[in-house]
Amino acid sequence: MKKISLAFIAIMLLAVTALAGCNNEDSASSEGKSKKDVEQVITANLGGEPYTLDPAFASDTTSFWVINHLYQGLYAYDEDGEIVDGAANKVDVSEDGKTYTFTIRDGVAWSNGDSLTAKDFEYSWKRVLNPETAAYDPSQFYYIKGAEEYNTGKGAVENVAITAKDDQTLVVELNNPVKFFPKVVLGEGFLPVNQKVVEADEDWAAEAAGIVTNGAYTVSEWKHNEQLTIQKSESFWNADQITMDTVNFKMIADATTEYQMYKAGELDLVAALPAETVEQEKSNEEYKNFPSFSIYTYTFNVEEEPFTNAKIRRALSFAIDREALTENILKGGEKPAYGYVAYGVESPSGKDFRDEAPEYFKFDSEKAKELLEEGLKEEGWDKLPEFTLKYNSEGNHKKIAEVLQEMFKQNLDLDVKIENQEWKTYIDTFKQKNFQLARMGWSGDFLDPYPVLNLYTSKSSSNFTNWSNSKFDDLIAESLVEQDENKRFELLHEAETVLMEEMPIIPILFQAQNTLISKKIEGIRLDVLSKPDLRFAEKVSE
Amino acid sequence: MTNSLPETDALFRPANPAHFENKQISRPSLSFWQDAVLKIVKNKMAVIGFVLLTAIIVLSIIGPYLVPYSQSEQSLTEGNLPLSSDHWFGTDDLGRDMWARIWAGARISLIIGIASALIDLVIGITVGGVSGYMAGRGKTGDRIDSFLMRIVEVLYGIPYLLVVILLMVIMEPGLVTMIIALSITGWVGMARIVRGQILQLKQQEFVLAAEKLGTSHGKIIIKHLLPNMMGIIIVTLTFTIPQAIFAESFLSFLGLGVQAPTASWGTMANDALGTILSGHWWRLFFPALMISLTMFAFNAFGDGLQDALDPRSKN
Repeated sequence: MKKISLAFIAIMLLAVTALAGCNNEDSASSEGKSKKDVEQVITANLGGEPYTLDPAFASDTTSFWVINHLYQGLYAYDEDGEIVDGAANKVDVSEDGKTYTFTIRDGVAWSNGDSLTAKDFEYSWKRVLNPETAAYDPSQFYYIKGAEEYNTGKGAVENVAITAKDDQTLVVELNNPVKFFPKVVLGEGFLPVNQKVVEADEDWAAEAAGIVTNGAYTVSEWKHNEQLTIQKSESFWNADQITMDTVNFKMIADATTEYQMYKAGELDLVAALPAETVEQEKSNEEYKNFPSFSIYTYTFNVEEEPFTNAKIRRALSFAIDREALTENILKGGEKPAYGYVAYGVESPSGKDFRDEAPEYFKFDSEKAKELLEEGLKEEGWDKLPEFTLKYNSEGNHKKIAEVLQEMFKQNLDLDVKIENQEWKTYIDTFKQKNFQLARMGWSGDFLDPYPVLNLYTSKSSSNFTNWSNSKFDDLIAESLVEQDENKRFELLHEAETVLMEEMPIIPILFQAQNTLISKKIEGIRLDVLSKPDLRFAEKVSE
Repeated sequence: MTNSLPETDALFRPANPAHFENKQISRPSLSFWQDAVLKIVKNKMAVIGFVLLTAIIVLSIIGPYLVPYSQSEQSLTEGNLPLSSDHWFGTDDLGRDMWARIWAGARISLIIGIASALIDLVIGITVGGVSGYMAGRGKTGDRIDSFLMRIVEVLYGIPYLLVVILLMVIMEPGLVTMIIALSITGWVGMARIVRGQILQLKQQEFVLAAEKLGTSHGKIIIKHLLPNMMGIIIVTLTFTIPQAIFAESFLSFLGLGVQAPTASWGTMANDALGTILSGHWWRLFFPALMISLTMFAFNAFGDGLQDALDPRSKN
């Protein structure tokens, strides 16, 4: 025991000295060299070994980050984040909006020299749908005719409407004329893999030597759990546009270590800054804050008392001072959420979807008390049954849970218990709906209100609230087939209104990314859906 | 006639009382406890430990009332304030007063330490006493002894952290669960020590005498054996308490301990981990300091007690 107390003192001393050493600045860049003399190498941190580099199985942002640099789909993002033609240079949409005909570019090739054809896409997409493949998310293909049936074992592969008419023509038929289908096709699951390579060796993506890509980069070295290096691919059709030659991805799990390595000049980029450092880095010109298309919510189980009553659910929402939370506690550029769909979706009117909608609630403790009383009366309760708020132990969640606990006490005079679980246990608890009120965050699969709203339909496999509303379901279903963008957005707004009035979830805030990008690097594109795009980056000084 | 001593009585003279002194016993006759107190007072470390301990206990009682804040009251605009006359130990990230939280945490620590020590005491003495006393008393006695000792060994063999974590999963995390978890395996050390002592003491004549006079087993254990090993029991206790306190801090640090809004030194230290980067040193320093000081105080005082209560050390 004595040894342990000594150890504590030792740690404290170390901590104090470490603080003193925090502010060493990078030495000024050497002048006189022109851009062309600078070796185009960037070093970033992946945070860990990527789960896989096979697009069919990737599910996490770590894998996606590398994969997005290795492969290119039918569409791509340019350096401004606009959706442009990718491997296909012509897309024809039939008049009824149900048939897409993609024409593959001339001269596009795989990194092993094979030419990339429409057949590669047909093979890759059907591979994801094949139930035997057990790919990560085949459901994103369900807009395609026959896809759901094949994937769930009810239909044959021949009935899946993905057809390579010839080497250059890919025809895809949809169940519904889905307007946002191009955004869906941008998903990682739709990236092509090389049929010959995959069929020759099912572990093709496990080592650097076996990986064949069609995008901007190839894998030149993969030291597992240590470093992954990708090199600009000379066979990429658009190689001239790619300015960064080499990307080194380190695999450092600890965010503090990552931060210190950046400070020591060993990394050029910190994609996710540790929360504790955001405040002191804000004045740093290398600091960049960027929104992310994701929402932080608290989810009700509407079959568990006391949250069987919508007024009681709404009372809690009115009792939360979101601004105090984002401005005083988190301070990482998060925005208070007064609606459900995050910022970032441009509506046909040119405005942001969020700005078009009214604020569905605000912080108002009087209104909260009123709603609570009405709710109690409706249910015939004298006082609110006890409830527990659950969250997972990682990151900022504890802080937020404690703030909510105190706000419910101050504004509604409720004694709320809070309980935490570590992520893996928590996700099980959550999926088993073993909660009254629990934290959960969502990011959209693509930049549209549909994928996030769709999470709360009765059919959705991600709806753990037990909430089911036929009006909401109908509006979402209607929006899927609506061809007029204006009307489609109206329907989505209406659906959001229903969701916010019934409130099976409390939106708390819209999340943000906090990054540090070295002054030596220009042209890194930040994205609301994924990690920074390094393809068009340029190192301007050593 | 004057009444004077006759000259012939020169052989007899009044005694000079000063001469008696060299016959006096050199050490005052002191009871066992008086002797112990004297020895402790002479031991500097033990005195420091005792003073610290008293200070911690007193402040854990009155500390939170010295400031106008409660330990759970948040003031979101006043997060991470450094030490000042308003907030003596600064505030944490949610604007809660660190002074109030430190002493509220001290209460939790002390309650857990003392409660689990008392439970250890009761179970440990009962099991150890019965086991040691019954050993060597015919077949039944030996059976009882080995049965109880096997239980002790099994519990000793299970990693305590595992038991605690499993229990925390089944039961609702909190103060009571924590005390139960720490007591489930905590008493085995005490049981072993008591058994060893009893095995030694029961060989002595006064036990034989009591037995021959028809005193019951229970009475012999309680009236004759226990008082003779009070010293070692108390010393064991002073080491059990800091162990329990440390275990509480450790478990709370891991998120298995007391739940918010209750403050505990362990959770406070955990919350403050990130401050190594942000520079709000007071948030990690004070909980860590308090844990260290408490451990030190109990150990220093316990060491002193051990020397003082050991009948073999007569210096």
